[in-house]
This record gives sequence, structure tokens and C-alpha cells, in this order.
Amino acid sequence: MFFAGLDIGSTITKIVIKTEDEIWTSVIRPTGAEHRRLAHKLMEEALQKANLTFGQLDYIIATGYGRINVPFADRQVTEISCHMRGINWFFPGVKTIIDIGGQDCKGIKVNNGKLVNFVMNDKCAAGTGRFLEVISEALGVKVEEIGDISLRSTNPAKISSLCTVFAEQEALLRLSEGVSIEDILAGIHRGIATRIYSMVERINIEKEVALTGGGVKNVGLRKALEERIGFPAVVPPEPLITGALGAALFAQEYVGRIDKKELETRKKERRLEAVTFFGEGPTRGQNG
Amino acid sequence: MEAERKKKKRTSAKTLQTAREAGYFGKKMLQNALKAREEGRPTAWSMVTWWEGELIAKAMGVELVFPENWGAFCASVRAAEPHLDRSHGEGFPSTLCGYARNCLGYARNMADNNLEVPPDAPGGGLARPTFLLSSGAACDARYKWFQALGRYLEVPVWTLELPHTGVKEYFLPGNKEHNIRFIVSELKEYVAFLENLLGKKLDWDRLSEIVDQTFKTLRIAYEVDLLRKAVPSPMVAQDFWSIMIPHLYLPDDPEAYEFYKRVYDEVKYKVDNKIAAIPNEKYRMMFSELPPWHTLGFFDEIAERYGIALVIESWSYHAIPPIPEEELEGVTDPLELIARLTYRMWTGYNETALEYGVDPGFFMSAYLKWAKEYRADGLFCHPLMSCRPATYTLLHTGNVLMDKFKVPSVVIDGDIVDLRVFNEEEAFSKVEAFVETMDHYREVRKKEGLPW
Amino acid sequence: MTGEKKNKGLARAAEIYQSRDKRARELKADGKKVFGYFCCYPPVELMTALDILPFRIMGDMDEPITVADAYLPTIMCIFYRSCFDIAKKGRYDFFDGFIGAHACDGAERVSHIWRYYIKSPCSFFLDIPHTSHSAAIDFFKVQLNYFKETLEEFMGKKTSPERLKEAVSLHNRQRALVRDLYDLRKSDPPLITGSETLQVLISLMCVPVEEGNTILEEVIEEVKERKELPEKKACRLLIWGSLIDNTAFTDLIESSGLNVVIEDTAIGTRPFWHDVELTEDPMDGLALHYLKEFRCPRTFRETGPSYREDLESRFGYLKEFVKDWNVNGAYLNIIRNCDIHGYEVPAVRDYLEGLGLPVLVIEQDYSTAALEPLRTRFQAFAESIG
Ligand code: SF4
Ligand code: SF4
Repeated sequence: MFFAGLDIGSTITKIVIKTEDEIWTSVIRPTGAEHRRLAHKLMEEALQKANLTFGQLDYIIATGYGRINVPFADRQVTEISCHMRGINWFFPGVKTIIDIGGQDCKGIKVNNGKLVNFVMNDKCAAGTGRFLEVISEALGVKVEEIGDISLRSTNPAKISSLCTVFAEQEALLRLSEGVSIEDILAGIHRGIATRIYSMVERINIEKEVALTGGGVKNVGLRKALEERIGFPAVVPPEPLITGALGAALFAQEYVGRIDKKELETRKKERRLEAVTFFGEGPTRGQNG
Repeated sequence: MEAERKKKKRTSAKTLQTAREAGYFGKKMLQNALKAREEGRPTAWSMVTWWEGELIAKAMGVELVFPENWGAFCASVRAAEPHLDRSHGEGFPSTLCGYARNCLGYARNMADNNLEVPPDAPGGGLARPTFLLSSGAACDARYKWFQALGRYLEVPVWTLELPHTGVKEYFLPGNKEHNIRFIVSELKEYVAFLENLLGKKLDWDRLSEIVDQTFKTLRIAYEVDLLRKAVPSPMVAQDFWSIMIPHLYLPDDPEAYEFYKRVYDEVKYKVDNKIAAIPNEKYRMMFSELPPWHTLGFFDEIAERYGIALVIESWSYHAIPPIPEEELEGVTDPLELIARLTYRMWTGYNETALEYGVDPGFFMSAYLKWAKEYRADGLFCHPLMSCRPATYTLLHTGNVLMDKFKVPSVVIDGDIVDLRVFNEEEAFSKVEAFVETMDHYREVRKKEGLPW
Repeated sequence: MTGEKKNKGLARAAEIYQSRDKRARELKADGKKVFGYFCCYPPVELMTALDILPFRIMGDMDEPITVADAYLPTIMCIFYRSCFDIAKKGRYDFFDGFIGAHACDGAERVSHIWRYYIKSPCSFFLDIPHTSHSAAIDFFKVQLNYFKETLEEFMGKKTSPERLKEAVSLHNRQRALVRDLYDLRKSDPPLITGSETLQVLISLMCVPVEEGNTILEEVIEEVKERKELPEKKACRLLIWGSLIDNTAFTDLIESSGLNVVIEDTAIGTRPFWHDVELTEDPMDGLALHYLKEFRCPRTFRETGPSYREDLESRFGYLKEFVKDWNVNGAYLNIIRNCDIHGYEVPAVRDYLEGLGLPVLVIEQDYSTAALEPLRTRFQAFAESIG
């Protein structure tokens, strides 16, 4: 059987197709605002890569910001549960998950593979991928490189963590004062780490901790976070797909709960169509 | 060069000799607290309660520390942020009062350290108090914050009552006396609470002495305010923000009284000899409410550049207009004197409010009276991102000043913990534009026959 | 009411909820005086006793705040900013009187500011002490008497203790009926949804007490007979905190896999949970009720000797709610800048977690436009329970 998880994030869409016990294929595509509704095209791509037809997928779960109106999904589950499940698959012993996404950042508590608590940052970009973009742009370095650069610092600059706008101003100020880019970036990463730490501390950080989401690809941030937490954290092999993987795992679980016949009718009714978004159509509650 | 000049301008140049000496009282407060700690005397964390709770605590030998002040201190040495983060981690919303969050985060650190002052605490930290003295006046933070400290400190909290009637309701027959009587009954309860907690009796004679001295100090501090009506202004807000420490926190200290006598003499001399605080006084502005403590030099700069004198400011820090004599006739009970004093602070401008048909009498109405008496050309509004009462009525005050007197206002954002909110460059350009506005409204006032 | 077909029960409540001022305007056209009031502290009994229609002032989550920006800073409680905004836009132009109250500092300051910009023929600002010490209750009674006299003077007539007692009884009857209605939410699934309940409660705050009581009686009967029950869901939710006055919010929650079964808020259990005691002088009962029995964290309760005991004495009543309504999840609703509830978050969370409940905290912006992003949190919360 094949189970698909589709994670429509604010900046990146990910798809994982898995069999009962392994990841069959995965696709990751940056998706700008206009492209998000083209998730069905991406699904086609994934199917092609996996050498499967749409009809071969037994169950599809959509997650992420854009999960609400995916017409070809059987069910939607929040990205919070999905990250939890994906990480749990990789690291069953993990109790705390920190997910650093493009537009938001979450802390998730797990117990025996069950979601017990979570927090999300609201409204504030500090501690998200967006923030790193703003800063790297301001300093004129590539966002993919800032983590590595920060690791070269010997004397991290003191930069407050309170707010994106101010952190940007402060970074420029330090630069004008002659502080090196390495030190500024190290300071920035520390600031973000503190910010994320105090948010996740609301649900009480417990060992073992996993870091996931696009933000963790930044080694500087990863190091700063581990320093702040006080012990090393685990990171999945591909931090971007934990949500989609979790969705595929949920798909697998739900299939077990419905009878064959219903599954077949469902599969027949599914259409690989464009995604609609908030305000574009009636919102639907959670089905099933 | 530019950077250097800016740096120098952080702290303001006070125009009064006495204001330059006022720092002594800040140090004295600190020393008192240290001494109390050495002597093992009880301490309390207290809100500024405008003398309602402080005087009695002092008479009971309790040393008070003020977490609102300490918050300002932590912010100024950039030590607030770890506390704010801690408070955030505890689940307190980040929209709460900045000083409160600073204190809650600190208390959490204390709780982690067996309720001892953490080794790295800014300014020596705040020692674990014997009790907390909160107040219902001005904002909800001032009692909810201390109640929330229960999570960490497990010490009793006393909440002082201060009635807040509307202006019209204040003048309902008998209501004022009901208000006073209520405060007095609550003060009695407060005394009982203290006696019970500290295991000793209040020395009523000592309290009377303290109250007496306080009345005297506040009286003369108020007289200084009256002198400031002179044109050109003999002193400015930059002076006031230094000299207010003794009357706000140590009015019972005979030294504070002596100090004010000297302030009075100095200001009087300047008035008599028409000596201006700032050269070329062209515009007379009022300031509301808490200043950007770390950038007071900004006000020297606008004095120099545009001839702006801040002639009166910060209602919540001023001494009260004296209580009418007939009201005090035959009143000897120190609790009643205290009740009348603090109540006067909050209602002293109700007559003005009634005259102009506005509410509330506190925070805003003083500015109406002042605008006229101090011949103000404008109001400098400094809304704070995380202090509610200093901000709630600012727009309203500005609107009413325009309605009634054609006095314009300028709004420049700031904060009490995030000092970066106050953007000097932006502030300069706003003030520059505002100067023209003030010119314009001077003409308008003239046309409408207003006296200034 | 005119000749048109009259709706009953839930339909009537929904109709009033939709156009909250309609009935008040009708009654006003017939000569009745209508007074707007803030929060739950001005005793509605006094207004009823003087034949005044008490009309609870609410905001509008659908209406962007625009006009209020010139009067109230953005750090002000967004709910009160909204109240003021729609009032300044004329939504409440039918008030004969305005009753401000020192419920919290936001309500207090907005009351003062309101009186300057929005004129009503009559107005009163009710000060409310911060403690429930006995001197505070006495003082509050005095303030209530001033309030009564102000109303009497405006209405040109006096009320009597008998008439006041009748009014108290009428409102107590309303309280009892609301509690009966809440009883219908104890079953699983609850017989009535959170959104329906909200419509009923809000309708009560916009019409005379007698009409409200009729609606309640009809609703209770209708709901008891219901064939089509709300969907059964994994989570039975308690809401605590700042008020909710728009069903868009409860709809969002209830479409995310949660059934709202009880709300400890100012448009929820709080105004209805205790009867006013019928004392010899009815003003005593009123003062006691509103200052002492009414449970909003705006009133300072003496702290206990230890944190645990303190929590128990301040939030012990929540334990009953959890038990009797079989609650298995709690949502702490904080309207941004509502300090009264904001300072309590860690304490209430500790207490509820101590009872074994998962707790979700959201600071929200009191705007339907900003609701959809909250869906993920509610759904994830439901998933964590289900
Ligand atoms: S909000 Fe302002 S007045 Fe209130 S406690 Fe904080 S600093 Fe003090
Ligand atoms: S905090 Fe309490 S008093 Fe203030 S509006 Fe909310 S429920 Fe009413």
C-alpha cells in the first residue's frame, strides 16, 4: 500500500510517499504565494518520480498552512501533530521538538508518540526563517551561508533579541562600529536562540530534544540553540520533510481504521485538483 | 564627532544647581535599603502608592524597595531582557507592563536560587521581601503583578484601596467624604495587617511626625511648581526629573525638606531676576508622562535648537495642590491625613475637569489647568509601549487641549524597557515640524482671544 | 412587537443576536429608556426596577477599528477599543444613558473618555473597589446608592425596596434558567452548542429581563426535545478568560474538533452563577453579590499562605466545572492587552494542569479577520486530546 503526506507550508511544499515501512519517495519544492495552489502539479511530479499512479495512493493526508482545502486529500491533520509523528518515527525517545519554519516557530511536547502540548510564536518574525532572510539581506550575505559564517566568530556581538526590526537596526549599527560580520551573525543567532528557547520553555523543555524545519539547516542556529538548551539535540536526516512524513504516517494509521469498501469508494471520488485557499471558498471543518 | 556629541548628550544638563545635587537622595535610598538589610529589618516590595502605604510602612520600620524603579534601572543598564525572556517562558503575555515582566522574570530566577538574590542580579538585585504592598491606583498591573508573584515568593500581599470616582460623581453630595472614610477604614486594616505580620505595634507618634514632615515637604515642592509659571521659565523638566526623587520617595526625611527649601530659593532667585533656564526660550511645552530616561539629553538638544522649554510635566510625579485648609481643620488622626493626602493627589484637578466637562480628573485634567497657567504652546506626548496609564489618556488629553485651548500636541513613541523604541532622529524631525504647528496655533489662539 | 410572525426560542435568540439593537430601538420608540453599560458590574436589577432597559455594550469583531485610533492608543484593551469605535460610529446612538464602570483599568479609562465624546442624556460612572473587604462592600453599597439616585432622578421617579426585590427576583429567575440551560450541556454530546449558547446569552443582554426569561424557557424546552444533536467530539472544552461575543469564534473552535461545554467568562457563567441574596435592604444583597460573589479576577482575593492554597481559594470553583461538565481540555482566551486575565495565565494554567487537563492559551486580536490562523492551534489541541 502507498500512503501520501502533503505538507503545504507558507514557503515550501513537501510530499512524502511511503509504503508500510519505508519512505518511497519525497519531493521538496519552494512554493511562492502564487504557486501554492499548484500543489496538485507537485503531486503529479512525486507520483512520476515514484513511478505510481494517483489511483495507487491508498490514503492522502494534507497538513501545513495550506491543508484546509486540498480537494484530493482524504483528511487533514495539523502540522503540529504531523511534525510530532514524523520525528517520533525517526527518534522514538524524543520528548521536545522545536520546529523552525519559514514563517513560524513551534515547540511540541511528545509522550509515547502522543502530542501532549505545544506553543507557537505569534505575529513575531524573530525566530523564523523569515527573520534570517531579513538579516542576511541587510548584511549582504547569502542566507545559506550565515550559519557557517557565524561559527567563525570568536566574540559574539551583543544583540538584543526582542524584535526583528530592531535587531536589523542593531546589526547595522554594530557593522558601522566595525564589529565583524562573524561576530554580528553569532550574536544574532544567539538572540534568536534565546527567543526560541524562552517560547518553548513555556511548555517545559525536556530531554531528548529534536530540532526540525528549514531553520535547522543553519548550523549556526543549531549550535546556538544547543548551547542555550544546555545539551545536544538530534536532527532528522532531512529536516524539511518531517511534517509530510508525519502526514504519511497518519495516513497509514487511518487506513487501518476504515473498511476496504469505503476506502475504494473514497479513492474513486478523489480528484487531483488545484488547492483553494482561505477566503476563496467556504471553509470546511475537519472531516471524518 | 557626531557620535561623540550624541554620547555626551545622553544625560541632560540640569539648569539648577540644586537639581545637580539631587542624586544624593537616590543614593540615600539605596543606602537605607542596604542598612535595613544589615540590621535585619523587614523589607517590602512596594508600588509607588503616592504616600498612601509608604508612610505607614516606614513608621513600622519597614524598608521599601520599588520594583517599578528597579525595572527602570534594569532597562537602563540593559539587563532587563533576560528577565523579560524568563517571564515570557513562564507564560506571561508579552503585552504586560515591561517593569512587571522584568520583575516576574527576576522572581522566577530567585525561586530557582532558593529565594536568594541571584549572584548576577542587576544593581545588587531585590532581596526577598517580608511582604508585598500593591495598590489599586492607576493601573491593574499594580495589584495583579504582585498577586502573580505569589507563584514564586509565597509572601503575603496587601492591596491598598484607592477609590476612583468619575468627576461628576466626585461632586455628588457626601461622596468625597465617603471615599475618604473608606480609605481610612482600609488603612486601619492595613495597620492591623502589619502589626500582625511584624509582631509589633505601630508607633502612632512616629507616624504623626512622618505625616507632618511629608505635608511640609510636599507643600514646598508644590510652591516650586507655582514659581515655574514665570516667563521665561526658571527651571525645566530636566531639572524636575531629578528633584522629584526626594518628595516622591523620601518626603518624610527632614533632609528632603531642607533640600526643597534650597530648590525654592534658587528658583525664586531666578524668577526675581528673570534668569531663564534655557537661553532664547521661544516655545513653552508640557510633557506627558514618563520621559525616555536614557535619552534626557534630547531635551537639551531641542532647547538649544528650537528654544523649547519643558515648563511643566509628568502629573503623576508632582506634589499635590494643597488640601483646602477648612478640610484639614481639626483633623489629627494620621490615617485620615494620609487618606486626604493621597486622595487629593487623585482628585486635586477635579474642579478643573468639572469646569471643562471632562473626565478623568487624574492624568489629564492637570494639563488643562497647566496649559493656561503655564502659557503652554504645546504638549509633548510620549506614549509607552508597555506602560498603560502613562499612555491611556494621552490622545484624549491632546484632543481636549486642542478643543478647549487650541494647544497642539506632538506624539513621539517610547518605552519603559525597550529603550530603542524612542528613535532620536525621528523625534528631532517631528519636533522640527511641530515648531511650525506651535507657531500656527499661537496665531489661532490670538485670533480667538485666548490669553496666551 | 409588530404583526409579523414571531420567532421563538433559539430562532428568536439568533434573531436578536444578529441585530442586537433592534428590540431596544423598538422599545425606545414606544417610550422605554435604554441604558448602555460596561461589563457585568453595574447591577442590571437597579435599571430593571426603574423600567430602564439595561443594554450590555459589546464590541464588533467584524468591524475594523478605525475611528477609535484618534482617541484610544493601541495598547488599550482591544475589546474596549472596539466598543468605543462602533459607538463613535453611531451604533449606540439610541442610548438614553451610559453607565461606565471600573471593572478593569481599560473599562475605567474608556468610560471616562467615552463620556466626553459620546453624549447621552444621562450618565454614571460606577467605581468598584479592588478588594472584597467588608469596608469595600460598604463603600460599594454607597456607590450603588448614588447610582440608584442618579437613575431615579433621570427617570423622575423613585423605586421602592419592594420593586427592587421584584427586579432581583426576575434576574435571579434568569440566572436559574441559564444554569438550567448549562445543565443541558453536561451530556455527551452536549444538547446545545457553544455558538447557540452564546447567541442565547447575548440576546439576554439586549432585551428586557422578562423577554429574556421567556426566550430561555422556550430554548430549554426546545433543546430538551432535540432530535438532531450536536456532533460528538473528542474534546469537551472549558473556556476561561476574556469574553467572546461573536459566534465566528465559537464556530471556529467547534469546527476544529472541540465541543465547548462551559465558559467561565463575562458572557458565560460569570453573570449568572450566583443568585443575588434577597436581603432586608436589597442594596446589601446587590453590593455583596457584585463585589464578592461575582468571580472575575479583577477583584483581588486575599492570597493564601502558600501558592497551592492560593490557587485553590481563587480557582477552586473551576474544579466543580471540570467535574460536573466532564471537561477534558481547557482554553484560556486572552484578548490582547487584557491585563486582568493576562497576569493570571500561568496561575490558572498551573491549577488546571494540576487537575489533569491539557491547556491551550491564545492571545487573540478580537478580530474575525485574524481568526483563521488560529484554526491550526485549535485543531492541534483537539488532535492532542482525541
Ligand atoms: S503599567 Fe506603568 S504604572 Fe502600571 S505598573 Fe507598569 S510601569 Fe507602573
Ligand atoms: S477583565 Fe473582567 S472586568 Fe474587565 S472586561 Fe474583562 S471580564 Fe470585564
